[in-house]
Amino acid sequence: MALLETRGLSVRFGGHLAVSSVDLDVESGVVTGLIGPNGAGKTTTFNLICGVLGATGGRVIFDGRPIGSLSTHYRARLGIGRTFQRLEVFGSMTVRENVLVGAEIRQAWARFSHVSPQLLADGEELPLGEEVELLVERLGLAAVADVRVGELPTGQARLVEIARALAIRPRVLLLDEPASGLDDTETGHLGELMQQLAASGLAILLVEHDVPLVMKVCAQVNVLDFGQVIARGTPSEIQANEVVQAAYLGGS
Amino acid sequence: MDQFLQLTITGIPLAAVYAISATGLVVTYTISGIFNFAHGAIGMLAAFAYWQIHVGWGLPALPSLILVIFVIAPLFGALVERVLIRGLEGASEVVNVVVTTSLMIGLLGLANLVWPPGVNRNVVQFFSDVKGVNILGVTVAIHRLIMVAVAVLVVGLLWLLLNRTRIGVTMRAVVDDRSLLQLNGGRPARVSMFSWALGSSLAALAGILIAPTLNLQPITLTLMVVTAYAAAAVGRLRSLPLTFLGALILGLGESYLKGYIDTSDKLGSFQLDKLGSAFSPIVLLIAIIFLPQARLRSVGQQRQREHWKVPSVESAVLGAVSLVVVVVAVALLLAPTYQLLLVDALFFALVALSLVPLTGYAGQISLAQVTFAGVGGIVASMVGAQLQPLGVVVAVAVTGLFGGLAALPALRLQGIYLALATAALAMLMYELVFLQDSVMPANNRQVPPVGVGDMKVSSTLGQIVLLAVAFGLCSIGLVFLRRGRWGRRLAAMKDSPVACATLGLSLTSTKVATFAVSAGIAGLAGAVSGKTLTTDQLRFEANFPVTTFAVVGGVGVVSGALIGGSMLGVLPVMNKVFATNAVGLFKFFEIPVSKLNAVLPGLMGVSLGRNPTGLSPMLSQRFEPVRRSPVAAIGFPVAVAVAWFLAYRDVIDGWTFLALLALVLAVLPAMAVVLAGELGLQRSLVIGGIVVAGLAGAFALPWATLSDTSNAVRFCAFVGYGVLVGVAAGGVAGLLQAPEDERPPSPDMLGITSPLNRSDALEAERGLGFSEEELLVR
Amino acid sequence: MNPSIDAPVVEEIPLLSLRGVRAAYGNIDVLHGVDLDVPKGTVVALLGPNGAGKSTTLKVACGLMAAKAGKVLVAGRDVTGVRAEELARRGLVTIPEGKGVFPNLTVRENLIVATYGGQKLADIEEVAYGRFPRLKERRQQVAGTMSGGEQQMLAMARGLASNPAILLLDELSMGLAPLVVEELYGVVAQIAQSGISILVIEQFARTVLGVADIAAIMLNGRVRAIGSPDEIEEELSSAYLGG
Repeated sequence: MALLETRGLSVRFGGHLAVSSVDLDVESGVVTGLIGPNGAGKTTTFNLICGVLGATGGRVIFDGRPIGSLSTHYRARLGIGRTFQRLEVFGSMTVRENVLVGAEIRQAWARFSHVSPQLLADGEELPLGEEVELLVERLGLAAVADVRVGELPTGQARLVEIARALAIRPRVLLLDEPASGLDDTETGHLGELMQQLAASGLAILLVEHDVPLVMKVCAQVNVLDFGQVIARGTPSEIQANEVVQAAYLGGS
Repeated sequence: MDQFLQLTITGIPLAAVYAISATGLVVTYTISGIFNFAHGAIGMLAAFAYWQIHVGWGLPALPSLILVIFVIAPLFGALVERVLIRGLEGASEVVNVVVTTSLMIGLLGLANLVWPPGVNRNVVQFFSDVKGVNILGVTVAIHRLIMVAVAVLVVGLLWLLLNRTRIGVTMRAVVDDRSLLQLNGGRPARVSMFSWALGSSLAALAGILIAPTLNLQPITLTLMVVTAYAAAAVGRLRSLPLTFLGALILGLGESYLKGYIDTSDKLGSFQLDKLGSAFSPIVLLIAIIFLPQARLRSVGQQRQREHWKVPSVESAVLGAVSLVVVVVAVALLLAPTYQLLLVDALFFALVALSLVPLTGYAGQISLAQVTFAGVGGIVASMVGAQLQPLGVVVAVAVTGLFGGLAALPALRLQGIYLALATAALAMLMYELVFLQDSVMPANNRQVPPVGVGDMKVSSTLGQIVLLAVAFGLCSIGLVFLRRGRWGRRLAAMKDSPVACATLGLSLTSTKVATFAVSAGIAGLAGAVSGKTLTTDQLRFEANFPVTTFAVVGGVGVVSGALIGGSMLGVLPVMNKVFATNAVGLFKFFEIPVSKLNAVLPGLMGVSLGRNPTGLSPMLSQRFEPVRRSPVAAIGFPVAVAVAWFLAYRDVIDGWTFLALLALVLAVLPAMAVVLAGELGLQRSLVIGGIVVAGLAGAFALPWATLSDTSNAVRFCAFVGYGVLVGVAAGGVAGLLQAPEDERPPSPDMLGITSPLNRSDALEAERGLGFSEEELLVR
Repeated sequence: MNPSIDAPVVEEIPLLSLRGVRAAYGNIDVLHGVDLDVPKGTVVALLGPNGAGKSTTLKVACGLMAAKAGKVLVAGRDVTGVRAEELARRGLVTIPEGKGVFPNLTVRENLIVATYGGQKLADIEEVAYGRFPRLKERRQQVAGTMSGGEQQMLAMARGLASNPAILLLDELSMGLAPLVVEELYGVVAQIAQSGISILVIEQFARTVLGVADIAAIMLNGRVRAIGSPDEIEEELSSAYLGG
């Protein structure tokens, strides 16, 4: 059984079925890809998983437990972290403060719920401040730690979002186009980081339009089109898939 | 049964007018995106204009009606849109709310100014000389039939407008998709202006229709708007049919409640007769509670027009200490009547401070802070003078709890609904609680002086110190909190609620806690005020200026609350200084100066569109050069201290002291730059000239305040000096700041005057298109 | 009608051109210096994967979004910063992404809104119903209740009837069945015949290459390749799937 599963997940906006019967399995220890053309419903699927949007049908199962009725912040407390396609950083605060807020919020609710161990530290439990420093450093943000995030370029702001999401020590991390705005070197580092995180036991669901990156880091790739999963498989299977080619390039 | 029938028949015309008014509100909101809190005030003004034209100047009813409803009101609405609303694009919800609430206060003041209260003005009902019609045994005046008929006509015409005319279709198009309309060549700004014109016409119509059945009083007519808010909220601010349903519920409900409940009816000691007037806020609250949960949306990073620095705790402590010192120093110079103004200034500053965590830090709106202060004062008074200072503690706790609980249903919502919910709460508290004899016997209640045992704060000076200390302590506390976990969390929530939720933060409980803290501070203000609270001070609309001034002062920082609150508190100084003065144009029209302060809060608020961050950050930015120049930074307090000492010893007049202070503040930044040698000789000389002129003026000013000088001289002297200082400050600001601001170019300026179409293109293709000169334009 | 790509077009001023356009949503930089020309009487297809910045490019071109840097030129004249409605009134017509119709207005009312371009309603109706007879039958129907294809036809009809000099089409095919898409691009080809310059933005590249004179591929906010449709087709698969 996968850590995070969706079964028949659907949402309807007016008469439009934006996500239709989506089944996903997000396993611990690997990066799972979710790709598809514009408007295919990828971000909407994220919103349904973390409860920002209510599903009109289907179930979200986390660690064997249906969580579809929980509100967003309870789902986060179970261990679902995410980033946003359209940046949702705390623009008026510095990079360090952004991560600190995440860690502080976690510390506040950690008293009531089970929290997974730190992902990037090796074994030992670090004090809050050090954990924040560690995250800032591992995301390559040490040089800009005291810069207001509102003043950062997109790529770095995306890394801040990842660091902040990691600060709540999630068990599954939903990344929404983390590489957009990054240059090739940064994208390379991000790929390595994702693989490291996965290796330490995190489940990652990656929405990304940088297809080479997806092909490089993902163990499994799901292709979404018109709100439906039209294909799933290993990267090489997906690349060879005619249906996928048609979905991306259209027609014949 | 007879009574029921009768009440039903009286309720329906009322519902009809409410429907007209609410329709205007909804049309304006859906199309321009701005909720017009001043909608009722526009209707009120129109009713007065109608009275002036018809009764005052004797024009027959019909032309007067046409003039007001089809000319004056729409022009006014369009003007408001053009001048105030268009500049609000991209401003925060807080600023949007404050601008229209300020407009409401401003219009109320204007009405009181032009049509002084106390004169009996009556608008007669239409066809009052014709006998009413008998419907099911109840005689109904023709006027009431007209109300219903007009409402039906409005619905019909509106339908025609929206479905059969281009502008109407375009209005619906704006609601559907604003940018698509632009791509069609439609101008959303014009449509928005039209919606304001239409909304104002409808407000005018409602105002004129209802005026004969109410007294022609500015406030009564203006507050009819709460009914429109309620009906619009039933329609979720967008559905017209549901809005009509809301209006019907309100008209009938009010009629039944007023009909069935006698003035003497009581439940225990609770007087029930106020339920009728409390009905609309009740419906408003219920409608808001049943609204669906606001969806969390990822809206992406938005450019924030407001930006505040977070001060350090040390500077907050320093600020608090200097506040107490300065306040005492000023108080010592003041005559007792002016000292009372200082008490008010500090009281309002403390109430404004309560908005800093809520509005400044967390970005939430409240229009009920004075109400919370009233609750605090009343609770302290109920606990009694003997149990002080326990009373203060109880008052803060109770108010905090009350604030948290009261806000709970509205906190799942955002922006405009929160503003409406707090407004409803303020109205409800006034009608149902503050008007109770058991709560405010003889319409007032004395808040006991603070003290321990027999040591009471009894003098005015003591009260001033107490309030200043309370403000200082609360400020330090707030700055401390802002710099800690809680403050980071609020700032995070303001930046991105959805991100906070996905980090595991419960938005509702965070907001409730913030609301409780905010209400608690307001409650503290009431409990330590030592005031005699009157019901009039706790009116629904008394809440608006505080929020306005807090935002104008700069609600993100505690100093902003101090500036905003004290400005509000000392406004009545004009009443005292210019008690007998008036401005006017010969004998043609004349306005007592003391009345001007009713309009000022409105003017302050509407200025916000340009500077949403508020005064305080603007000032601290202006005084930045002073901080860099040690000579100025040390010289300034020393100079002021010397001047104060001279004034204290009566060597110089109090007015001279104030004038000197104003002068110093105006030119200080420039002096700092001059002293640092950063300005050229010529500019330095100009500034020197200003200083000399200012000094001369400051010493000449006391002459103008002598009792035997004429009103005109006195007034001119003050205004003249004010202008001088203002010009100096403005000029200095101009010297120190680089110009900015750029407008989007109009294509006509670029030389494209006629549409480019296919034939143009073909022509161009043949090489005959545009001449070289044309191509070189820009 | 199809000028050879190799032929120098230097002397002729393109009807629409973007010069070094940069744009951002808040902090998110989307365009990093886009250069693109739409010569007179040509169909230019702008292709590229998700998030490459195609729609943003179009938004800047039509005036809905302000460029952070760079210039937008119409017939050689700098119109950077001119509002969308003003450009629309002067012959730069845009059919936006998704459904370029007002869903709660009837077909006829949608055409009424189109009269801001300066044409009479009767003329617009004549052109629209002449091109798409199906719309005539549906003229009292609320646009949002029509099929996706019909809505897109209405959007196109609106754009056509206002007699544009330049037509900008954004993702015409989004959410539509292949047959309908084919039909729509048939119409695009016809429009191109009449001499209107067209900029088409399309994620589904193959559908549009047949009608285009020039094709360009966008990646990460820049135009990466520009050339004849044939040349571009070869590069497509690697640009999209990184194969």
